[in-house]
Amino acid sequence: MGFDEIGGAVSKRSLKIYWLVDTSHSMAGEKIATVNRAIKACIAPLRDAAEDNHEAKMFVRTMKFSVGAAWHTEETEINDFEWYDLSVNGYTETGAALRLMAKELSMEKMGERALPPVIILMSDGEATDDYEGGLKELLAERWGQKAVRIAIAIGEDANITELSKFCSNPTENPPLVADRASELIAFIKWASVEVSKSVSHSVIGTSNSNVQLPPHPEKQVMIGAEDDEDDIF
Amino acid sequence: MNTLIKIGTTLNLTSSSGVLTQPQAVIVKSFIGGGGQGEVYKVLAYGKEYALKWYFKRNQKKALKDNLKALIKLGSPSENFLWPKQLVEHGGQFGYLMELRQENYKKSQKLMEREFSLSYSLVCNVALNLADSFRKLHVKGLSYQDISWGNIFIDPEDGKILICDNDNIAPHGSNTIGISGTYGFMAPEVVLNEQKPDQYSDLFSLAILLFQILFLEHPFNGRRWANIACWDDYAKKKLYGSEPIFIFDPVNKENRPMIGVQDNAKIFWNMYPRHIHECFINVFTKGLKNRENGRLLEEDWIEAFRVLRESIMICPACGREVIFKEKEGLKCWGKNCEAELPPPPRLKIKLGKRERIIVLNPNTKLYTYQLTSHEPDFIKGDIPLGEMVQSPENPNKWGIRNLSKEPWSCTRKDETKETPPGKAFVLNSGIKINFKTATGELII
Ligand SMILES: Nc1ncnc2c1ncn2[C@@H]1O[C@H](COP(=O)(O)OP(=O)(O)O)[C@@H](O)[C@H]1O
Ligand SMILES: [Zn+2]
Repeated sequence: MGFDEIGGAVSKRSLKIYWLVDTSHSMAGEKIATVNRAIKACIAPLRDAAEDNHEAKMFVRTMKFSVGAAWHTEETEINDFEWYDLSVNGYTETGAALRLMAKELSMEKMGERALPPVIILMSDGEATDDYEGGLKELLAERWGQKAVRIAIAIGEDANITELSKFCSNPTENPPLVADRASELIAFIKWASVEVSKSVSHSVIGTSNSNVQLPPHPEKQVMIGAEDDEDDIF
Repeated sequence: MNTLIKIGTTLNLTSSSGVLTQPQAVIVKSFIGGGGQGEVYKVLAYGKEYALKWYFKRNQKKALKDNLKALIKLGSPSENFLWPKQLVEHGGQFGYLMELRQENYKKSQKLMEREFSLSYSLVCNVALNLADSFRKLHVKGLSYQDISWGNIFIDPEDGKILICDNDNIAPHGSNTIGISGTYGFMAPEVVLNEQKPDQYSDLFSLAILLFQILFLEHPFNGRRWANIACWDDYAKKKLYGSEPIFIFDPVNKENRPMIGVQDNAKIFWNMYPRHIHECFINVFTKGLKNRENGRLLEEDWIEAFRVLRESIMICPACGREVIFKEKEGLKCWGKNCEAELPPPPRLKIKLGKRERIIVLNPNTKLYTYQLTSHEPDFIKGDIPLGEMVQSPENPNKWGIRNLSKEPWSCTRKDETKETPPGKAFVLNSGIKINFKTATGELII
């Protein structure tokens, strides 16, 4: 007979992952389809990562921004999370997205104890509203500063300078530029799965930021497979 | 899904070296999982299933390959390691074969989630297996460098363990692969980047692992952890590197567990006797700075858990295991039991200068390390030389059977009798036993 009747489980900290997706018109077609597919593909490995970690409780939430910004899914524990495809609709109001994000990171919403949240911003263009203002609001929140902020540029029309300003450590981790669907999937998976693994059980490294990020995904030819290149965005 | 190797691929090996006979081909059957350095597959080689670890391009380095070759040549220190067996190369890249982990081994961190629980004797088995494995690794001059939850697996049925991820193991003092470990397990000097991982930091990490297995809380996660809102690398560096304070530091009481947040620590701390507490206090106070003298060697842990195992008694009311403590009122900890317990029969054994008190339960065995030599090797030391037996005629009559090759002589009321190998002597009060190398005395 073991000790199962005494004590409890170790207390956990929340680990929140946010996907902020540009749903402007230019995202229509393959781009938004790829994002939908990639986020769906993250669910299973995120569940595995959550299962391997007794110190963190993982939550995910999606925001869409085009004309204004809105939450696309509720904050959901990864095990209960279900995906609904995003569709496109208008401008690129990234500023509004950052403002909405800032509200989510208030001290009361984040609770007493948490791991640094992971915010993944994905865009194929540049903001049509007050980007700087939105960014300022986000960084005014303590959790906004502590957050691991990663940007993914979809295609060559994305404004890299703008996205760099969002990144938590633009010199070490500048925006990832995805020119193809396969790259976009790899980047979204890396930013979601590998980064959240590092946030929760981090390995020591040389970075001077508050979370050591894992090495970027590398282009690798699968052994035993034909190398079929997909279309450029 | 994108994996490094397509499932179903046959790797035609360009080169292969190791302890297995030269394989012609390795067939990749399924994907097991990905880690920080590469991916692991279930493969078929020479008609048998193995695990194949294949590295990401960025890790396909000569230093790693040379290290693997050296480890394969050296061989596994004990059967508890899933040691690299064969280096395999294909298309200019490499990986290695090892045995597959069987399903009965569970991820060790599931203990912390309370998905499985151990008993005192299973805790002892796990601790003894861990200490013994790392002792054997260290005796070979190697250091593990990354002891952490992800690399340790436990069989909750018998307390056997498996140690995975052995490709970063390197000679003590060498750090060619450049692994530094996982926060929360690293020694302070490694967190602070003052030292690369080595055997001394392994000893610290082993203590952290053992602490969590026993007390289901982290030794430094007390009040200070609970008061930190954002648990990032800065916070970890402070709590585990620059200002670690043990939650049960007898002098500095500033970082005690917080009620409602870290309740396990206190509950389970109180379940263990003083001598176990002292081991941990030593490592987590003196051993924070004093690498050479403050960190228990595996031999010390083996002795501590042998003593703990010898003090386990069975509650006659409910069957739970309880730790016998001399000169203390004994009570069963079971929530629906709480029976007052009379002191159990014990055997006092003297081997050289060392005296041990062994609680006698129906399944108690007398071991080599108790009767013939202070054998530090857990497996060799645990060869039984005697066992408790019940008289077939009278179930109230108990004895100890001689499993050794030498006769024992037992003295009671000035009368001495021989107990030849295979026979048992009866545990009558006042009996004294001469085990040849050691002497024993029954305490009732
Ligand atoms: N011998 C093995 N048998 C079964 N599963 C294994 C074996 N070795 C590793 N694994 C699994 O493969 C995955 C990745 O392996 P791991 O060694 O952790 O990678 P890394 O060292 O790169 O982090 C993990 O899920 C691990 O449990
Ligand atoms: Zn009881």
